[in-house]
Amino acid sequence: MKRTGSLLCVAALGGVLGAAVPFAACSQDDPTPASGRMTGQELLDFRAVIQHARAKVFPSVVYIRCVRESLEGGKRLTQEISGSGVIVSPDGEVVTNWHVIDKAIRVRCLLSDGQALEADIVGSDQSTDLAVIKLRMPEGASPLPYAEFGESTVLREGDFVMAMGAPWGLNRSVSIGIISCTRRFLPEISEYSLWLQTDSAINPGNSGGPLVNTDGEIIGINARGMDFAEGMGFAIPSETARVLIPQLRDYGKVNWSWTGLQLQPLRDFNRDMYFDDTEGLIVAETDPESPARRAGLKPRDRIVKVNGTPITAMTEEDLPAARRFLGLLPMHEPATFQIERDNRMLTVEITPREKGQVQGKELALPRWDLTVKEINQFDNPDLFFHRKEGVFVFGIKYPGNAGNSGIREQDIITKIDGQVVASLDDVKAIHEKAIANVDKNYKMVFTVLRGGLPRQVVLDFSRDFEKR
Amino acid sequence: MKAVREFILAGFLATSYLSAGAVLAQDDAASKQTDLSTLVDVAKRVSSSLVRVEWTLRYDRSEPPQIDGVWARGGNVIDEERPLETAGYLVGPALVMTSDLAVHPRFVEKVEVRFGDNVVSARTAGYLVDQRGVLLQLAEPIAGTKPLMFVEPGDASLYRVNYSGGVTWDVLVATMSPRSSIALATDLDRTTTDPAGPLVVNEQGEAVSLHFVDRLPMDTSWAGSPLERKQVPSAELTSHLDKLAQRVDQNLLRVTVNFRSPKAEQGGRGMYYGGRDMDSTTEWNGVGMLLEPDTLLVLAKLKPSVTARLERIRVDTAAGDSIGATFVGSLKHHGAFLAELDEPVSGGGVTLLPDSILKTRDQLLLGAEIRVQGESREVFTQHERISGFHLGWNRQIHPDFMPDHPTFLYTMDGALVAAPISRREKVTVDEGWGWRSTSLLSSADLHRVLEKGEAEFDANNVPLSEEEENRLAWLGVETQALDTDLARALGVANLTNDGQTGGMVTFVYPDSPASNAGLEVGDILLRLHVEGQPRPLEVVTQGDMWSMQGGFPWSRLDELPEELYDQIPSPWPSVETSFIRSLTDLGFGTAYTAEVFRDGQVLTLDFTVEQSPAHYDSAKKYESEAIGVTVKDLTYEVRRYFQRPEGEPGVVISKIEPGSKASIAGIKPYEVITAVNDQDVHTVKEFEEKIQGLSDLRIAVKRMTNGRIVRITLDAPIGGAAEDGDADADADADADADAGADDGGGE
Repeated sequence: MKRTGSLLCVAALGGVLGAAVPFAACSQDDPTPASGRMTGQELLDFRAVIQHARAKVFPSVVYIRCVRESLEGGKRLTQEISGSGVIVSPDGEVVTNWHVIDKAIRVRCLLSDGQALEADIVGSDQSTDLAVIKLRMPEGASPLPYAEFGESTVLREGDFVMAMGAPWGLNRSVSIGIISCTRRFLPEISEYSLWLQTDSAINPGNSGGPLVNTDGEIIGINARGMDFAEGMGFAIPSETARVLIPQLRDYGKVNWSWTGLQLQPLRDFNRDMYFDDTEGLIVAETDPESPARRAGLKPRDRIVKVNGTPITAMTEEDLPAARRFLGLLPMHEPATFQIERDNRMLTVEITPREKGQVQGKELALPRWDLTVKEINQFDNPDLFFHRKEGVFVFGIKYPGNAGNSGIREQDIITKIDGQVVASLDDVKAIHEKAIANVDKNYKMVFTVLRGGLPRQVVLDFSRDFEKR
Repeated sequence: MKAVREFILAGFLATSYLSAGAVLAQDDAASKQTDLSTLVDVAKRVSSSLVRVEWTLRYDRSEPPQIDGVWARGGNVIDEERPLETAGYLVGPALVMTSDLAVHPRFVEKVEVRFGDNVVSARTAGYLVDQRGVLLQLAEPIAGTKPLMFVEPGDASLYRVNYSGGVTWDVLVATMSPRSSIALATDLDRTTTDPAGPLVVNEQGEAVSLHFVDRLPMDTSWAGSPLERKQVPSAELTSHLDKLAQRVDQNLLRVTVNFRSPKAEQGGRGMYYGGRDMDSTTEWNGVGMLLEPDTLLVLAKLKPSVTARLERIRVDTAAGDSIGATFVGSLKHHGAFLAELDEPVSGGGVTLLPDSILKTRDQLLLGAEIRVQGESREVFTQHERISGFHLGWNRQIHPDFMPDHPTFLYTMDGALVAAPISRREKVTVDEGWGWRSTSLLSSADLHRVLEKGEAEFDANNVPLSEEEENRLAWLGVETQALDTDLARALGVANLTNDGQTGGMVTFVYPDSPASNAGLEVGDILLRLHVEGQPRPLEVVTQGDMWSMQGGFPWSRLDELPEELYDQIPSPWPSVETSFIRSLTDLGFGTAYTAEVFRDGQVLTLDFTVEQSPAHYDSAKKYESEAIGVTVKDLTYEVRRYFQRPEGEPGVVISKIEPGSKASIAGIKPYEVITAVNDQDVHTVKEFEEKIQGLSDLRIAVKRMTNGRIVRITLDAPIGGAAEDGDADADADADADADAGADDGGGE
């Protein structure tokens, strides 16, 4: 299995940024070019096309540096990271990746004209890796250059594109390539959106920067590369971004509706698996305690229509759109699902509800030398399987007291010294009290759930691993 | 090592020395009037009859002989290029009597006798039958020596003389009259008196006796020259040994035992559980002793888990035939099992020594050392001596004779004196069935064991069917091993050796011995007291070794290459912990009492060892070659892990054949199949039945909370009798073509 990595750049170098120009070009072999066969004269103007496209977008590309405060390796970690973004409105709205601004406590942006501005996070969505931030414009500032979204759905493999941003922190960088695949499905990270694959050089730091067509329009937001691969970058299609940005702007997040349906396509070449039907998609399973399970949907049901709209996933590439469609169903309103079960058509009503957090909150517990996180159904399904709510050990600091005591990552904490732990607040309160009393009592018995079985572990935190 | 073998030379007198050569020993009160100068005179008079016998030994096939004295201070005399020396007593001009080393001739390079600087070569001429003495014939008389003159004891004062060597050679002389102590051996109805000698002389230095025993009879029958005692000349011994070799060829047979293959070690678990001695062996080669023409005692100490897999016994006869044998019963307390030959072997059968083994002390015995290494069977015969005895388990009397290789001792008449049958140790949790004692079992004790017949068989240590071979006992709990901190926090440090033993109950299975006895989560199992076992069984659990950092990587299963499937450890801990293994080895039905700590109190709960329901390793399984999947019933511990109560459908995947339909379809080990073509499957039998005749399967697969439908299309129906696979093959091809068209953008 190939693994993709986010294009985040831990800040190393500084710089400014530029813009890009569109071009129109297609292969001479293409029998049906997008805009007719090019003449020799036009081909000679290739450079002009590129410069034109570049110039339309380059001034709106932003170099972003964030201070991120995260919990890693069992402790609080503050680090500066860098990425890219693109201004999409004259008043300073910038589109970037969720993973660029996630957990940022400060966001600094460098514009192409050399202006450095602070920015505030407007909204973000982890599932699609999109984020919107807003530049703090000085009083009376003139409108900013901004780029416009183009149509990613009309792209074809072979179309020229340019990636702009700050690879490895080298801002004002432009690279050129073609669309390698217009509909790339990447397992695990294609829940609501497919990816545009390009061979434009995309490197860490390009994250959040625009992928631009020859007309000088944003057709994607660069987000990922692939480990050990060259010339394989992945961008969020503008089609996805355009649908979701208004939600990010209005609600700070995408209010995904949740039905709890696990879906699979009718045909799966990789798994040599083909169902006879040509319409609809298959219910693989329903999430526990989900609206779909309550509504009685069963694995092996085939969904054909939702609210009268036909829905089909022939292959896995069709699944993100289908999930997005379901994810954007109005919440708390019954949706009518037409399904086939045992060769009979049935109609079932499912009332989607909000998906809510897709990741639990975290908390660092210094001196105990561990971090904890809330169990989240979507982020930690295996833990959720054992306990529907509560807190688990997210990180262990080495060397540290928790690690020495035999507490492990993924242990679900159920009790500390007999006190039931059901939330981060519970742990926080016990921790604060424990630290205040460390002189009197420095050993506590943790009851954890590991692999579904309870265990008791004595945490001895008499030692201070931070002492220098 | 014959570490326990004692020498007649050792231990007689060990007190005062004179550096010069003659040692005058102050004896007990009885001899207080003796003038020490008399002793000096005696020493001087006998000294010309005292010689040193130098045994130049050698390696044979890189083995040194096993004799006391060969090894000293970490080196051995062979490597140190010096001979092993014994004291010799000249009994004729060219005859020397010395202590019998009982060494196989293959280790003897030469024997020489030294007097001062004069050395002559010697050869063994004969062996005393009742005493451990050997007679050497010298090539020629040694200059300066004078043989001992033997006379009647008369009424004269007697002196005992011992020639003893090391860095210096000393003549130790002590008075021996009047005798002052006796020993009445109540069991043997024999009274003996003080040791004396080996040489007894009168004041003139004339010999009264030369003997090689350490207790003397009460009468004067000990007096006289050893030449007058019963002897076996060397040539005669050789013919005895030849006869023994023939007898041994007929009686001690090479046995090959074959075992079914042990179960595969579940990924990584082998590190912790496998590789221990015979646990996973598939072949055993060794010795079987014919008790009767059709009854064989196979000297294999097999654990119950190994015997369980016993499949076939083959025996090589002296005639060169290979005949089969059937398992009859494992001895409960000894490392051997009885087998019945498919056809009787002529000339077979063993004669057990009817007398007490104690009477064989110092006697000339015959020994057969037998080595079976794979196909080869090799026997070394030589004379042997038993120099003493020790008590063992259950008051068994063992000779002080611990050979490196299995050695059988016989009398000159061919009766078995002792056989290398080791004791079977009691079950312990940590050590299992280790090899501890190599003492020989006496004929009398062997007789006592064999006459008990079936009562001596261990009903728990028997061959089992393949379905049953992985059966285990259970208590019905999951436990967590304690550690120091936890034991102290829970207040059981003093009861658990500071947390080194003891297991905290973390789960109690319903309808298990534990739940029936009222064991609860949080109880701490301290130790078990087992009927018939003096040592309590400590509760030591190995659960910690199992669990993976961060839990089972369900979400990353898809990234795993096919070839590694067999190496993924199961997500649940194996029920076969060393603790459960020990319970199993105790045998089903064995009563035991568990010490349990609960709420500050130690309770005792009574149990009997019960067989567990099927567990993952013993679960019924079914392999479908067509699909490339092996499934197993959901057993109790797997159901606990998946939280699938009894009655909920499912079979768990235990093996995926790389490259198979199942593998391509993305089915992974440890996923659960809940349904086939919309019909629930609860057992592998149901699974097998439901897929029969199908060539188009829709399999519902679950991975924790995720699920999917896997469609598998086969060329021919499963188990299909008729060759009607063509139609399906066409359908399959069509489907492929369609998919190809739709899948244009795919990889």
